[in-house]
Amino acid sequence: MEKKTLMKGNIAIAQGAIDGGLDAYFGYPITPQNEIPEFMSKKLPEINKVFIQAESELASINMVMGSAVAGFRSMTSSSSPGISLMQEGLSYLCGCELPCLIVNVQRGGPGLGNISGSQADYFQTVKGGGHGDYRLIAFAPDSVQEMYDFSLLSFELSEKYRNPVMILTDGVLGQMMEPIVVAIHEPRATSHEPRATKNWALDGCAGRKPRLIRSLLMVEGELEKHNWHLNRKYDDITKSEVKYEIVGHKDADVFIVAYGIVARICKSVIKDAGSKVGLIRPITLWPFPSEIISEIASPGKKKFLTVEMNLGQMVEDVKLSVNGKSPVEFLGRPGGGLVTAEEILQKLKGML
Amino acid sequence: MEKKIIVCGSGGQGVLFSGVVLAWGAIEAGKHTTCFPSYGAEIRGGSSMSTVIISDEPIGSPVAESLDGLIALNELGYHRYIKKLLPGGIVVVNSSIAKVKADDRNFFEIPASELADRELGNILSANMVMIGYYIKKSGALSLDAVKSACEKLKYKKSAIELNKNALEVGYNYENKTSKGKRR
Amino acid sequence: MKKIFSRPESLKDTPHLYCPGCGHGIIHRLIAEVIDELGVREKTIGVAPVGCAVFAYDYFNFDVTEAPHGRPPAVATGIKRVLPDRVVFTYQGDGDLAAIGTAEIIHAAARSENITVIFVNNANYGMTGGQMAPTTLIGQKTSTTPEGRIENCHGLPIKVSELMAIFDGVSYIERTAVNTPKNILRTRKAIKMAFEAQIENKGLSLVEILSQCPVEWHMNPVVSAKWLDEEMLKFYPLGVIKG
Repeated sequence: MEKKTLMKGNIAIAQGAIDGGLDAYFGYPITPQNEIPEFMSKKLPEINKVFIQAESELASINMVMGSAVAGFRSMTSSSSPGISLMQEGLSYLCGCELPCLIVNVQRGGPGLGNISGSQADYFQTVKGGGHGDYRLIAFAPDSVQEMYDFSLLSFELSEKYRNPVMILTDGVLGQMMEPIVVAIHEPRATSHEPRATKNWALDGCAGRKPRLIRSLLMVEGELEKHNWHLNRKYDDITKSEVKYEIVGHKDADVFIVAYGIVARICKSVIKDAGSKVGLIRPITLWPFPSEIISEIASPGKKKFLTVEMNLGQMVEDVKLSVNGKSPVEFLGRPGGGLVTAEEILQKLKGML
Repeated sequence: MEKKIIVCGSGGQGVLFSGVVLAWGAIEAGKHTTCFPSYGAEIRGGSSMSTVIISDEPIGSPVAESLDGLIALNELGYHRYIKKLLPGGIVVVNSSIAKVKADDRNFFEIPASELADRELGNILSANMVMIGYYIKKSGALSLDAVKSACEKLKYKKSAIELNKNALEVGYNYENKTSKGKRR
Repeated sequence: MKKIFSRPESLKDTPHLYCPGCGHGIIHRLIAEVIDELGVREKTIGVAPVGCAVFAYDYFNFDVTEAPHGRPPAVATGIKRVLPDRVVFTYQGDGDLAAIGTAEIIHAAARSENITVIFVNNANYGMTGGQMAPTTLIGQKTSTTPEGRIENCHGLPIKVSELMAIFDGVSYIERTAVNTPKNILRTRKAIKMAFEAQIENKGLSLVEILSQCPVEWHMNPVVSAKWLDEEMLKFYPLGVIKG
């Protein structure tokens, strides 16, 4: 049996990033993710990597931009209110096509809210809290193992498409501990390796023409051209990077659609609810698994239940995917309320 | 098999640590487990609570609405969570601090703070005494599993030894009083 | 024939779009000459502002990045920390540095970041149409202080160089101007000192350069150079403030 180690969600994110080749972490304290900057402040200097506790989330995302511009694997983490401050930075990172990892350990909102887990930043993540046409590749882990795995793999994915990757998690997954398997990895010997593959990074123009990184394109037609280029990239990502999990039988009558901590709770419900209930768990929130949902939707034969810890956000994307073929119901707990297996079962009873 | 346990007490009593030891004990025993802490804003004196779930099957929510076990290091914690205890659930109380009584056959008292002070010379080990006593009464884990768990936590050798000894003190404790009064 | 004067290698062969009489063109050239003289063109990475100099990267012949408004010191921090042997500088105007970016410049100084900050102070927001800046003088008319800046309504101007001198992490601050040949020569020296401070790892270096802005000041270039002498120098004295 693989050796398991007990790890807290937030630590798994941090350790996963380090094992995935993180070069620089910039962040600002905010509950419920303070373990991440604290862990980084200890571990990164030990391996000669960069750690800065920035003066704000605004500064953090801009330091990430700097480090990413120079071709290094960069990351920041925060929770909902701090992520709001980063929206400008995200727009710039996408416009400039810079790879990086951003982690949102969601808490209750709006405003200062509370420090419990929530899922109310779905819109902000996938519909763009920042300005302009851009997309974040967004992952929703449902276990501490996935927190570790997605963090580790994010840099490669982010560099492949020159686009930020967001891990959308929450205060429950961040604080809970469970056994995981930690990857055996080769510690990266030198930070020159990833930059060698970069033909766009700014590291000083020795031996080459000077380069420029920017999102400002004032010449007539240029910005539109750039946007179409971004759009082609987003199409490529949509074709190749959708991830989801199906639990239960495809011919179940009711399909729950849920992500993250809620999906995890739904999994235990499916066990007790019998073969008439299945679960579609989006693993990538963007690109959203619309195709599989559309395939499953069937007039008269299927019903959908979207369960989220908010007032109804992902349910809109479920409805778009279902496109009127089947009814879509919603069960929500906003403001940091944690949905329970009993509530979900109750709701399902009414639908079956 | 699934056991949902809450360890509770005031900040500084080592409640969160106890939860981690139980969770590691579950890993040592080859079980699925989650450990979910929750605490107030105060650094000391506020309440602290950890939910530990031990199961043969993958675990859904790490939060428990109803409990199989309650380990209460103080009185406030006991009163806060006792209503979640399922019939047949086991509650273990630190009688050095918590003055509560119950006529439930599954209610067990142990003067953990006094034992920690007297037998181990360190009152802070009361938390491990409680864990040792709980696993004896509930059969949730073996003593070996939790002692092994202490090794996993990468503390000083002296601390590891102290914790293991505290677990044993709790495990071997015999409660001489055979009945209690109304809760 | 011996060549005794040419465009610096660190400057591209691109005509400037700055207004006639504007200080930016001069300052760009001075920076380019210093970078050439120090032989660090291939190690230099510049961070451009939002403001008239947003197009600085069209003129500088080395790696340059854009940054969101006010954030260059944070972006520069990210670059310098991962590439500590490169020469990293920010080029910022009074909106970028003294308004929206006050937190970023202060904390870069507090952290003693080894970057150089070129701060162009022309007492207004040029690019957006001449609005009041934190450096606008009392009584100065701008598009958002049409009757002139009044203390009890608009507050008082900020002396950035004096403010930044408080920080131990800042090793060199000088205020200069580009309105006369003598001042231009001194500016060049100051820019060189600032870059040298970075190369010697002495912490943050800042040159505040008072610049004429003829169009937004509604003066012709000659008059604007005089106004700078007569009005701006009264409030913003030239000289080495630290270092």
